[in-house]
Amino acid sequence: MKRFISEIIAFKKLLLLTIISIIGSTIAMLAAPYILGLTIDKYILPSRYSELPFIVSIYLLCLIGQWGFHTLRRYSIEALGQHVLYSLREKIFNKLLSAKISFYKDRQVGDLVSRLINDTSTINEVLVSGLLGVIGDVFSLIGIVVMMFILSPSLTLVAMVGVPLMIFIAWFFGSRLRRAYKAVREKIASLSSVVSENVSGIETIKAFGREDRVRSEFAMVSWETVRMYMRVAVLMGFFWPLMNLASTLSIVVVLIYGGYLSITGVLSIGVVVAFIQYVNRFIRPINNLISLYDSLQSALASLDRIYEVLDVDEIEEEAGIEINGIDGGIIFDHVWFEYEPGKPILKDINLEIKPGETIAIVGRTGAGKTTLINLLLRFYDPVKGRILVDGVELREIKRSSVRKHISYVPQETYLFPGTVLDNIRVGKPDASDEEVKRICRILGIEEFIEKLPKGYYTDAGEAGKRLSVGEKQLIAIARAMLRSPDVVVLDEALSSVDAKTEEIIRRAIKTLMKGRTGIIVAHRLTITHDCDRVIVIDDGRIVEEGRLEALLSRKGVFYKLYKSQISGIEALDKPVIQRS
Amino acid sequence: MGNYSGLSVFIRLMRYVFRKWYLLVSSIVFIVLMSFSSSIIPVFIREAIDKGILAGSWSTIVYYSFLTLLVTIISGVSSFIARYLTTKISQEIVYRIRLEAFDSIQRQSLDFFDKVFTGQLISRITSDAERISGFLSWRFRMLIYSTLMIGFSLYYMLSMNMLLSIISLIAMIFIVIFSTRYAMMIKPMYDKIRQQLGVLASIATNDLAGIKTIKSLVLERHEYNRFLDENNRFLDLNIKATRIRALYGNLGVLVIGLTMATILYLGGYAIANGLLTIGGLTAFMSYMLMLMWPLNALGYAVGDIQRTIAAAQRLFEIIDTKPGVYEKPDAKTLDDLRGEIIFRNVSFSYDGNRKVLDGIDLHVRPGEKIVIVGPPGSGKSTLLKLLARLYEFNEGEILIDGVDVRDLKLDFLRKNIVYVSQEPFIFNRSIKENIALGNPDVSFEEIVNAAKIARIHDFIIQLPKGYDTIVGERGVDLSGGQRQRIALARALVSNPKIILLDDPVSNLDAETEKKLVSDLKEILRDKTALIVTQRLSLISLADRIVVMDRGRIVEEGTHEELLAKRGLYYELYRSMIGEKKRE
Repeated sequence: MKRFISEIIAFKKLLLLTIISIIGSTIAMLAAPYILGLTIDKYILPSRYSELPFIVSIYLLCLIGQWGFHTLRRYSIEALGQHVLYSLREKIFNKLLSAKISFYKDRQVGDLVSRLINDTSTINEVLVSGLLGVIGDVFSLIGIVVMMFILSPSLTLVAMVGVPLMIFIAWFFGSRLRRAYKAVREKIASLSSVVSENVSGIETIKAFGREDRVRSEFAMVSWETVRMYMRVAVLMGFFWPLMNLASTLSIVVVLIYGGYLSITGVLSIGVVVAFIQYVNRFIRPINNLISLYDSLQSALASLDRIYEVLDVDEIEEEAGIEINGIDGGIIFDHVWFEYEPGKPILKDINLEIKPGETIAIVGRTGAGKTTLINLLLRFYDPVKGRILVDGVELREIKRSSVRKHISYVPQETYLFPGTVLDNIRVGKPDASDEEVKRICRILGIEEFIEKLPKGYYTDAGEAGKRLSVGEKQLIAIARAMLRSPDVVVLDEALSSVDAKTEEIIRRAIKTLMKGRTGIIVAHRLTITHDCDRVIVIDDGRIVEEGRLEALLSRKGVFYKLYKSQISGIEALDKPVIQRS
Repeated sequence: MGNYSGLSVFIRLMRYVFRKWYLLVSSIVFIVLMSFSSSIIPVFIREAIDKGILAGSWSTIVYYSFLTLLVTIISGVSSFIARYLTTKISQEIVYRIRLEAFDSIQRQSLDFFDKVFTGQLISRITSDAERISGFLSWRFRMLIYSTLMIGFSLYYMLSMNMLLSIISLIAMIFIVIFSTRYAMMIKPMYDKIRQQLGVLASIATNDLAGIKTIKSLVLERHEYNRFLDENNRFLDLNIKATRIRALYGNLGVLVIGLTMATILYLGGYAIANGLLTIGGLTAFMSYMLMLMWPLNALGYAVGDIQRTIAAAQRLFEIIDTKPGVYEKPDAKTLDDLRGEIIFRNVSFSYDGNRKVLDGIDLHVRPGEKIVIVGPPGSGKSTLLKLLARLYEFNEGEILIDGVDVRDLKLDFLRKNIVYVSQEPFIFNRSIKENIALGNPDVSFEEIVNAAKIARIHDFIIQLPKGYDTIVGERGVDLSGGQRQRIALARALVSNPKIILLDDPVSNLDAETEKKLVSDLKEILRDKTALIVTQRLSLISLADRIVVMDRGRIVEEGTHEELLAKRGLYYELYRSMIGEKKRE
């Protein structure tokens, strides 16, 4: 909380403006009814009409002042809130971008985005705009009471009769109302998720003829929102009339008691009129105050959630050596790694990759292939041992520098919003359209891209729906090519493509690897034909290593893997040969 | 239909309202009562001051005070009832409209969904419907309430002083104009702000979901700047909105202030000339303060009409969209389905231009297994989807046991023909429910059995909650292969006569694929099956292979026959095993 206050204080100008306008609007608001009473008592009743224009202009001035200050107050408070919101979001986003990959390991994107978007909004509404607004309200409230007290202490006490009632109503119905509203929002959210699921799964729903069930589910959720709205209507129906009643009660009491005092000559009519106007101004500040108190708890929770992100210390530091390229080899020297202490994933990896060489890494799921790549890209650093690039220890080199020269093509290509062209361009944000197209021509994937509905300018979301995982990888390959890296690390995605596409992808991969050092994580073992050397990893260790033919003739782990994959084809092949 | 002028949309919306005329009438009665009772309060206060305080009669004060209290209670009770009734009207209407829209969406054939975005449909059914209900409940109530309130108040004002009444009226007109304009100015701003917030959220969502890509391409700075730009835009929009809100949103206060000062000034002279009493002056001022809120609300309501009509129009458009696939009124069912399928000269196009299927003729005998191969985009999947009636076609006919599929009841069709898509959708609920989707009456044993055949049982039981594990978007994430196997199990529990498999093993690893294929042989024994595939393994299931290219059937026959032909199949086959031959 202290930290947060210091963040608000940073906006000195707006804060000052807020304070001035709060004071100004309070004074103007208090003065108006007082002057009204004065006018009635001292000018209208004694018939001093020649001086009426003077006092009325002061009254006018007060009203204009009230409007002016109120406008200023509203503006400055909200503007201040928006600036705080802006800077909070900027800080959080920056933090998230620089966090280490390990930070994301067991976190959900939705939750992080909600902190960035929703929690910051809550904080603005409650702790900035809300709090400052309420401070203004408290000022007014105190001012009103003081003013009334000066005019007539006994009438003030009587006029307060409605206040406890107001507080009770605001507290009792207000909190229930907010809960009911929250329930409405939740129901609407589930309504939209029913629609969303129904639309995304429409093919399946229709294919199985499940329309009726989905409809009744929708009708049920939709009826729930109706019920929640009715609850809100009932609570609102109690809330405002009761508030009004409490306020009227105060007015009536002022009339009765004030009237009595006035008849007995203790008090003037003007004061009674002024009191009536003051009492009317109780409702809003009391209501605001209670509702702020009510939402304070959730705002503080939001604050915690935000600072939890801002305090993350798993940050990728910008320190390290800048390299201009990698022309030598890559050496894994007794490398060990574990995500959780005591559970090593990589065990004593020794590997030397010569410049210009293309190697395939093969192994079962969970053998440690991806981890090896994660280390090379410095998403993680080895626990023991070292990785040398051009003879320099990798952990000494700046991360951004490593990734500039070692290009990574993941198995699942992530498509950003925008066109297909934009998506390739992220490999080199300042590349021209021509440059991107040229690269695609070189890779031999231009024809493939132009087959999309709008070619290069197809929306990525739409393209994503049409393309298989393997076809999407072509975009990532073009991205990497655009960067012209020295080393390429590629997690192949050929498992779910047809033969023709596989040809295109394999050709593109070959073109990309030309003249570069290449590391391919192979799932479809056919790709190993395109590699100089195959590394077989099992349970975190390199168990076999060598040229494809050599490994096949060795009849070891690789041979078994290879056999089981190719056998799908052979099973069919054999009877054909027998029969023909 | 097709006419969506503002007036016709409004009338159509009102027709929904008039259907609840009894609620409408009673709510209007209570709104009248409520506005009348509120507008009389200042008169009582005037009487209390003039006849009570000034005349020195305390009992008069007490009398009017209690009248005030009584009237407040009446007004409160009426307001409660009126609010309840209008909310009921609006909610029931919106419930109905929403359901009509949803039904219409569900009736659409798949080409409708190819064209629209999910998000758009969601916002129709949520935001647009909300806007209508908001208008019908409180905007509508405010419209009547405020108008009546102004009318009643003017009546009492006129009985007190003509000149001051006219001045008040002018002020009121200004306030309504200002607040109408304000509503029309600020509402689009709010929409823009909401949209911009969406932009921020989507940048963050995309960047965080693709964080590894961002990092490996060293795009952190680039993305940070992009976010900063949009964040700046968000700030600018908000500051602009704040400015509008502060300046124009408060304009009514200024007008009231000016009016009150004028009333005080002129009222002072009027009192001197005996044309007004002090109580009257107080009443005038109370009216101005009291009317402030209804006047603003009236302006907002007027300013909202246009947007409400736009929202209603969007919903009506959805409701009026004609479905692509529909059931004939005299649609029938078949007893004892044999499973014979005949395609006769079937052509089809998604966009009305390019033919995806072009004169397909195919006769599938009962119980026959047909494997369909062909290059991507040759129309293989479309053929299956037409048979399953997911799209409507106009050229040619598809017969099942000699009856046109378009003459069959959809229910019957879906029960007997199951289509398993290449990328099956997994619903956000338990695995058990996902499998039982094919047949809600199925027993748990049958589910388990189907899962075993589909080779997904072993995976399911090692999940923490087994068959009750929630999968999908908000549950356990499944791989493509696991989804396919669940979809297969789903198809198995419904035990259809005709089964259409769209590349059922495309995402499986080699070992599972092999086992699954041998099991499929057993499963498909007495069924008619059409299987689209890119994989060689499934060819072993085929009684006959159909080769498609550019929407036509180009070759047909057994594996050996086709190989001997040395045509497209031979080429496809070569390229499928190509890498093996290259050694």
